[in-house]
Amino acid sequence: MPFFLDRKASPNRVREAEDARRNRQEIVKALSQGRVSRRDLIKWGVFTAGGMLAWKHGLNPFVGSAYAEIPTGLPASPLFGVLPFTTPMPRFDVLARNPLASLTPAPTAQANQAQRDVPAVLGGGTGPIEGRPPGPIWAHQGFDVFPPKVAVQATQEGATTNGVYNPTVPSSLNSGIDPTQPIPLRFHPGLPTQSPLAVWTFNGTIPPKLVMGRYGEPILFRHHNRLPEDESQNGGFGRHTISTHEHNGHHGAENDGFTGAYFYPGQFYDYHWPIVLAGFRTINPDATDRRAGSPDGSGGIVKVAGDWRETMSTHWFHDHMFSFTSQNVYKGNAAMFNIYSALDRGNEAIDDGVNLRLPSGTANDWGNLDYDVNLMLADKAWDANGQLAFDIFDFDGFIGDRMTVNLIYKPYFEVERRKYRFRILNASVSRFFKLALSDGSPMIQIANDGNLLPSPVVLTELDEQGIAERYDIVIDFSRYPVNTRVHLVNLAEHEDGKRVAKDLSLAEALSGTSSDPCVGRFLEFRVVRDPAKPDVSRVPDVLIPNPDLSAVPVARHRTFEFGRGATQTTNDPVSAFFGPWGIRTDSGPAGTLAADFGRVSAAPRAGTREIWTLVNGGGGWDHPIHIHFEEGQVLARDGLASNVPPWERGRKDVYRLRPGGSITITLQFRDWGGMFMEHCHNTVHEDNAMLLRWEIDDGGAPFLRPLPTPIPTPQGVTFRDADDVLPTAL
Amino acid sequence: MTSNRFCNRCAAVLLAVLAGMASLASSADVVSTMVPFVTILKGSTETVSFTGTARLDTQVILDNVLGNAPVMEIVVDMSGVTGVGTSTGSTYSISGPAILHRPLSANDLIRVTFPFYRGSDLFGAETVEATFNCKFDTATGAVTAVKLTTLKM
Repeated sequence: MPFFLDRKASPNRVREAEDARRNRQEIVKALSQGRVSRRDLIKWGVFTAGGMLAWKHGLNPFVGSAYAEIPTGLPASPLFGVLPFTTPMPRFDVLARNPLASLTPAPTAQANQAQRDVPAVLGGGTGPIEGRPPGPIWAHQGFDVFPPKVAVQATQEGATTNGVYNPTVPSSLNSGIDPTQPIPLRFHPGLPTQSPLAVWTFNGTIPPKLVMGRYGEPILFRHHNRLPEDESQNGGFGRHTISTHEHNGHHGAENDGFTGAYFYPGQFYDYHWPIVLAGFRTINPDATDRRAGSPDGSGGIVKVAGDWRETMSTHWFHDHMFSFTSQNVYKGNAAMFNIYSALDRGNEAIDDGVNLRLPSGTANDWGNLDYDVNLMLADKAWDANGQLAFDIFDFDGFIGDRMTVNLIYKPYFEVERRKYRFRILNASVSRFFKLALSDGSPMIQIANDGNLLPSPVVLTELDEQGIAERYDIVIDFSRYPVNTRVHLVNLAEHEDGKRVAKDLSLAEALSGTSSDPCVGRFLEFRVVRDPAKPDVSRVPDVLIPNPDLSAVPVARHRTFEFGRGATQTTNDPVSAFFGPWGIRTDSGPAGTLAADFGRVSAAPRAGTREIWTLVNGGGGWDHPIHIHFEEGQVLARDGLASNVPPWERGRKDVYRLRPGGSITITLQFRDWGGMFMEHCHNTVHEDNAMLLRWEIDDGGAPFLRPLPTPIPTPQGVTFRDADDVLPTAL
Repeated sequence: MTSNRFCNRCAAVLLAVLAGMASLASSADVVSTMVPFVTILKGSTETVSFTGTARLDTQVILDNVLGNAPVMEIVVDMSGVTGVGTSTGSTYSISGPAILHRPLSANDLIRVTFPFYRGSDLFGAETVEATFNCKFDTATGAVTAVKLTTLKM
């Protein structure tokens, strides 16, 4: 059944669909502002107990039309006459790296509890200026050993014009964009400017933001919440409390963006990203291995402790607000983080026997972005006025009908005849992608989820890319003559938010016959010239081998089954949530449980390795499962190692289950402690309520077993005992 | 100029009726079908003769919770196919696999592209499209007949 109305739908049908969408938006608005709960909606018959929108005309987009036109669907997002590939794709906007002394007040190991006046709309009185939970348990771990050296600050705020765009590359490498010109927040110059209530991005602006960091140089990321104090001022969706997850940083839990450690408008949260190699306490602790290193700024290497085979490269960070992640990320709370190392230093010329010399550039010692391009893919939808819109038809997922790259509708990007690296992030709510070049030419995948693969893999069609997965690929444009135009194409057709309905062939996707508007060409590469300098970049046969775990004993096996029909065994009004989705742990007698961030579902011992099997509990959907903290290795799919495709044979942090499938992984739990999460990254599933808490809590003081649950308020964070500890958790 | 055109049509056609050739894989739900693969492709530097076996792993996945239509998971594995350059005698590989999800249907045209390349020259890779015109047993997912066509792109 087509999801969106056909372009040829009659005006009456479109009007009817608009009315229905307006009715649904009232529901979204009431939910987002806490005026109704999902239980209320089910009780009133708006939703079924299974999370399906009631089969009512004027509400459900798939109920037969009053005009008897079948099939029905959603109104398309209007394009206001805009055509694809008519505006350039901007590079990411690089956030400034400043000295630590630039931060006022100075960061502190424990949360800064200096008081401020709390606005009346947030309850009045006073509350701490920093939203991080107070006390020693939530103090920055390793703050003395890895003191921050660089300060990066950003706000979260409503849409505004960007007057300080910093792409770090010349205009000639940014499709001619003049960075000195103000950039209004709109998805295309021909589309309406977004209102401050419709879009909430980092610094309130586009392009999306990029943090650049390197191993051995800890970052203090201070995130200021400048969203509206009144939670009803949200443009109909989005929650003004946020928690920022550095996906998938190997940091202490206090810096992980725990779903229950959110902070309020007017507060900041100091995230300490130490940027360390996993295993630094036990592997290469004296930092003698040059492969475990970081660019020193002048062509050399600063050696750091840890396992060089745990080097990571492409991260992103985004909101993780309990039950509102989908709305907040969709609304703009998503950015990327490139991590540079001796192996992957972002300089293609330095030939020191360690640097892999991947496509990047040569001007700077590290972090050249000339030929290293971040791409954030996201499907969006907007209302009749062109304002960003979030719809709700069920709790299976949200699908937009307009493809954006770096928050621009179907842009073009100028390239030279040489190799480029693209760091591709799927930042959608529920949509999977499957990418190919329009002429079928090969691409070389070098990384998966931010981890360089053991060996590059050449592909003409990438695998399905789930939400939050990152695929780094290299495209060699030297094969094309100048003036060639070639496109990135999406082959994955959706009918709803549950899973890919059909992986199309390239010819099918290019035919324009798909009912899914996000299928087909979405980014145009324009080959504009020969490179000014010879391309000296390489893609070596060996990138980063996997860490050798053969000598690390397996302490436990655990099983997590992701399914529907969840029950809730707790009733904490803040930490427990109700939704059709849930997770069953170790075949537990309680069955499939809905999320409660006060419940401990697993507590691996510090310093151990475990094997976890993630099972899809039904065949009607797919789930990209994200496990926070340390990267895992995929041991098997459906029980067989031979089923693991080459591009999943490195390290990962998001594991697509595939419909009806299972995946077995191994993980280590070391270096840091605290409470982390495991959840579906189809963020509608996550919010409804496919998420669990696990923790490393046996490392001794200051940790307790189990850890107390933070309960944030504008006046300060309090703690409660864990609601529940599953019998197999410890 | 856009460069999405198919070129070098008519590389090879192979018809294989596979009644009785399907064999159960280790997973009870997955059915593996071996498809003889013999084709000659005209590459940019030389003509390459490919021989071997393509494997189709097919699995019907039922939605036993919501009752939605089943999906077919199809894994096309070309690792059993190798090529030899007719001029140089060099060995060519075809990379993959391709993993597809398609609505369950008694007949389906599975068109997938794969890179082929000489030795470890990934940047010299070229593209072949393989079209498997399949008939399925919709109860088991088994391929009952298949016609394979290849095309150099």
